[in-house]
Amino acid sequence: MSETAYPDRSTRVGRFTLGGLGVVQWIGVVVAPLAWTAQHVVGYGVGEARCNVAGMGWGIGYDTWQLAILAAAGLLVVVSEAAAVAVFLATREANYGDGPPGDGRWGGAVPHTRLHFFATAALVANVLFLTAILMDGLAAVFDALCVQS
Amino acid sequence: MADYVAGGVPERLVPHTTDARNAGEATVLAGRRRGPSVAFWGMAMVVASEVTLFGTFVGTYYYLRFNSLHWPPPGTPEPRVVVPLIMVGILATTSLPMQLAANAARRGRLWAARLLLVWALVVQCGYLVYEIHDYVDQLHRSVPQDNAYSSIYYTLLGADHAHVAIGILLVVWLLWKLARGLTMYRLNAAQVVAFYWHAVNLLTLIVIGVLLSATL
Repeated sequence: MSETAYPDRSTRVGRFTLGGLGVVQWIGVVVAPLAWTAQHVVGYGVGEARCNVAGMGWGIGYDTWQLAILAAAGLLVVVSEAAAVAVFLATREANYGDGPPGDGRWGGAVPHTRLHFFATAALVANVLFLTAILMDGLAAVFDALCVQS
Repeated sequence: MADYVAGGVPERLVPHTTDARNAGEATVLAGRRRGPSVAFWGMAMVVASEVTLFGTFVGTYYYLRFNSLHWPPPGTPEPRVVVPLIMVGILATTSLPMQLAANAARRGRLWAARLLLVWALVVQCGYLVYEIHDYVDQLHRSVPQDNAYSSIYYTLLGADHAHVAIGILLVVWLLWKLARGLTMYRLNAAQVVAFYWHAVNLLTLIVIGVLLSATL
């Protein structure tokens, strides 16, 4: 087994550097769930402001707000999915294992393997988050306002 | 195959993780690691989804609480304080043997890893048996259909017990795998199951804390 240097962050992987690809990978993984969380929390806040006695005088355009939040969150998920696709394609030849130990270079935890793993997971999860965002936003618009279920 | 995968060697010719088939080889390979295994990242994603689930439950609990004049509602028994605190304290101690077992596996000390896992398993099973008995006992005094408090109380507690049960199944599975020796995959599993247990213990502490906040 011959030891070779661990890949540097400046190593080129297609059009990205390894460090840059790591940043893009995390965008692919975390932006969609954060967008959904933000949409849900802000949407809930808009509902509270619209329906509570204190907020009724504020004149909040409930549907407009909900649709704007929905659009913003949806756009972020599209960006997140694009990032996941970019990382997936850049690392599509990496294996899913724990790195090839026999060649003795990095002894597992090969960065490309992690990148590819997260990109694959994000590709699927982002579709689920987009579905959740659409259901969340559309239900907020079409459900009866200020009425307990 | 691109050269970053196997240093220019075609992938089919490269020995993979599955080739570490004994404790010695697995220990050597684990020592060369520069970062967490993919298995760890996979479990981190599972834990993140569990945190989301419990975060939703806890959010629901406080939403209902702040929209109720009385919490718990009149006629609904308050949660017990002392016994749950003792039990959750006992459960939290199992993080120690779990982590020690993962560390022992990392050093190739297979028997130490097995014994530590058995130690943890005995305590975890004792905890779960008592908690299930207590859960059923509480159901004789109030049921989830009684009111919103009972619904979220039993949902939170039941979900937490389910996660403890899943963790116990993982430990049993890990013991079964380690009974046949140590490989790289089993070493990964030992580290990942220990990580899951730390998360379960933390979630249990949070759940018990939230449920006992009704007595404040």
